[in-house]
Amino acid sequence: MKTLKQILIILVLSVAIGLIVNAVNPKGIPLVVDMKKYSTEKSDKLKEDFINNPYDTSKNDAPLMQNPHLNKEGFVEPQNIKLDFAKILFDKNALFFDGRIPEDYKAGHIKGAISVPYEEFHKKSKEERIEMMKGYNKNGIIVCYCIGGDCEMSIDLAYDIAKLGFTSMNIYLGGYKEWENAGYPVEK
Amino acid sequence: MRDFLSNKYLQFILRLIIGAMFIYVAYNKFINPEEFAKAIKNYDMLPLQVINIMAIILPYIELFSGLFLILGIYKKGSSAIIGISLIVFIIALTTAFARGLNIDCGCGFSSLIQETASKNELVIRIFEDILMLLGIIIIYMFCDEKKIEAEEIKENQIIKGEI
Repeated sequence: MKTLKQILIILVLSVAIGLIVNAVNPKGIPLVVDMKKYSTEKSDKLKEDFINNPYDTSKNDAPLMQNPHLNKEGFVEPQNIKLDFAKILFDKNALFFDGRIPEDYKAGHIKGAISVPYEEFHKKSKEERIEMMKGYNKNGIIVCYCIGGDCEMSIDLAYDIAKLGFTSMNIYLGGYKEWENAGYPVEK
Repeated sequence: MRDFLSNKYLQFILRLIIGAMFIYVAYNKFINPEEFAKAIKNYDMLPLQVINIMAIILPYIELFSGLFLILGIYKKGSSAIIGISLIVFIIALTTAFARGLNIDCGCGFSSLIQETASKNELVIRIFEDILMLLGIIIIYMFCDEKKIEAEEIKENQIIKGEI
């Protein structure tokens, strides 16, 4: 009984202090995860638009696929896309960025994908990131992916790149696992 | 053996090591709640809706448990919380190991060395947590031993009419 009472006091204290500190901390996070971050509801609409107006995504004069409106932070938000649209973009030569660690990339990746390990990329300074992305068309379609499931590296990588001014970043949340299971082209 | 385990110096050293460890681990988590939320998500064990609230509260549970343990306040309560946390960590790490996940568990001294745990590091962390669990069991079971003994002696003296 005494132990339970002590546990309760520590828990109540922790909850209270935790919530207060989070509320005043500039690095504080929302109490509930923003589910929009994982939503693929726009994927079908984007696919439809793309099918109605297809183009070779590897060309430098590629038009913007997405609404180029900047968000509050001053960049175009990446879009989540599903397997079917990812495959259409793949067939149209879109660039695929693999955000996993190099060992995972070597073990198998989407055919033609470029290894851009998120952890390494994120550690670089803004100037180094710009230097790394220098050769890529800022308006060209880029699809980021990682292993799939709950892996967030694809999301984080796409946001890091979008913040450099890239306007057509996409996140393929299904990732390598779903792609490979679908029997689509891979390289090992 | 009982005398040794309830020895106040041993008890203090164990409380200091485990308490400091929990404060250190908590510090790393509450200075960057967003990173910690991602680490919890990587375990793939909790629904997305509760991840952030866990990331906000868990570091403070660890901080206060660790702090109270060192200061000797609510020793039973803080050691019970730390014990339960360690059991949860061990289960989570073992499952992650079995599923071959590459995770940043944000736990253990080995997290000082590298952010993302490889398979071998996971084993080290599981081992660390098991050691700490043993320590915390000793604290929980024997922290009030001397007090209980003193109370028993006092009670006996009262019964015998010595006081």
